[in-house]
Amino acid sequence: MTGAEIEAIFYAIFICMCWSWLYKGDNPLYRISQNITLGLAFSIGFKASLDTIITKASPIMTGDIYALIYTVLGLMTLLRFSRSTLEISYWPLAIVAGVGTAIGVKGSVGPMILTQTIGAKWYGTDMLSSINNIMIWVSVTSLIIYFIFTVKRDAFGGTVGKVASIGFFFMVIAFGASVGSGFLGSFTVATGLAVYLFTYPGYFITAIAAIVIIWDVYRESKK
Amino acid sequence: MKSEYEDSILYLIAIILLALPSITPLSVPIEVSPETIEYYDAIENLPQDAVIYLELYSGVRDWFDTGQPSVATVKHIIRLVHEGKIKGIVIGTLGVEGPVVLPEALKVISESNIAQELEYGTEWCFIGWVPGFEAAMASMLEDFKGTVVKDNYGTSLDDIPILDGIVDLEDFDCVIVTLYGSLEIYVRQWSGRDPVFLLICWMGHKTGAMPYYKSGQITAIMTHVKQTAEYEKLLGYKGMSAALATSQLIMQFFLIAIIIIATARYWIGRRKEAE
Repeated sequence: MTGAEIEAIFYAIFICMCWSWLYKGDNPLYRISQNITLGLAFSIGFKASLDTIITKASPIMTGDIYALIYTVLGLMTLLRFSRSTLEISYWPLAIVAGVGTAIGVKGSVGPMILTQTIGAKWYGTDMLSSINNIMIWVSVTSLIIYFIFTVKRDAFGGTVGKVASIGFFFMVIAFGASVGSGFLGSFTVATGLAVYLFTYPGYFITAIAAIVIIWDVYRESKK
Repeated sequence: MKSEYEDSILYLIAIILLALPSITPLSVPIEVSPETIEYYDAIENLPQDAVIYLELYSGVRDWFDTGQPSVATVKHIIRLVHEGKIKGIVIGTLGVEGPVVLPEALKVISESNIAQELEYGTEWCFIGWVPGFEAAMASMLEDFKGTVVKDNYGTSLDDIPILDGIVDLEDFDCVIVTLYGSLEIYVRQWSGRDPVFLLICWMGHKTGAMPYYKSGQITAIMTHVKQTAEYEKLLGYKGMSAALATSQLIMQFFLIAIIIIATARYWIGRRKEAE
């Protein structure tokens, strides 16, 4: 048996173990596969992180004296395990939080706010894109009004409430589209994995799983 | 039949329907959409001797979602390199789950056969995982070689010919991002700059990316399965996405059928109760 065939058999076994949840709910096989997945993900991540630290961040390996600062800051975070040195570990976390926020804010204003206002037009190249642009304006305006809670909904003769409900309508459509798209994506994963169960050599494992399920159904029916 | 088995039977039927097109190809006709042509043309019309940066942030579960369009994109770029239109491609991954998704990047590299098709160093380069995520993105924008320093195999970037003349990320002619996590982070840091910005994502992200696409910050978007099947048709090869697209179509019909049957059963039951 080749390495690829052994790998395919392991895929089929793990897929059957994970999907045993669909038949029996929470069961030992599902828990085993769950724990193996978590353990594997953690070990790969840990190993790769260690490799990266050694090859790219270590002052000795890179010959970069500034890497000593990163190493010291990284080691300072470990001081949080002791109550007496806990407060020292806040400094590297504060640096990370501060730098991260500054970088995020720096990029936010231009691409996420200003460019969006420049891009919005009332008209488009054809009728459909013009209708699309008008709908964008209506939905943005109504949604902003929806999220203004300092004005009562029955203000201005109930107009605020009606406009807010239009915004709510658009928001629900947007969430539905997003969730539906995400749901569709999840099926893609299931499709790709299902192939391993019905092609060589995975179908041997599928046949064994089918026999076990049939036997279990028969056993349950006898009770 | 016991009611406790009803769900399991539905799941079983769904699994069989999902796998069916991969076992017996059903050849559903694929019509190429304008969005796919736009993505194809964005890469095809890059300037002579362009250098592309490909950010491979496919998650562990996303081999079938964003892995397939990434493979197709690399195959497209390989063809253009062979034709002498493009200088080469630099592949990296910045994902916050970097150490875990790095094997996925290597999977794309091996599936697309880039190591056999192109010469390492002059036509392609793999910089591996660059830690730091958004901070690394901002740093690459200012100083690419200073941020990355070495490639995945320990070679200094100064010794890699394809990166000659690359000082910061804006020196690349095209940046292609395979998205798994947050879109806004890439948009904040990399979009709207000199390089052509292309996005590979799954459908859930496309709806969120539309504002940036409409404003021109993202030049073109490639999504999984159906659009990738169209892209593969344009490239002239049959990948996994064609079978996945057929499976997805069958699954959609199955779900619609279940919804109709369940709704009809509910209303018939209510009418009987009323009687």
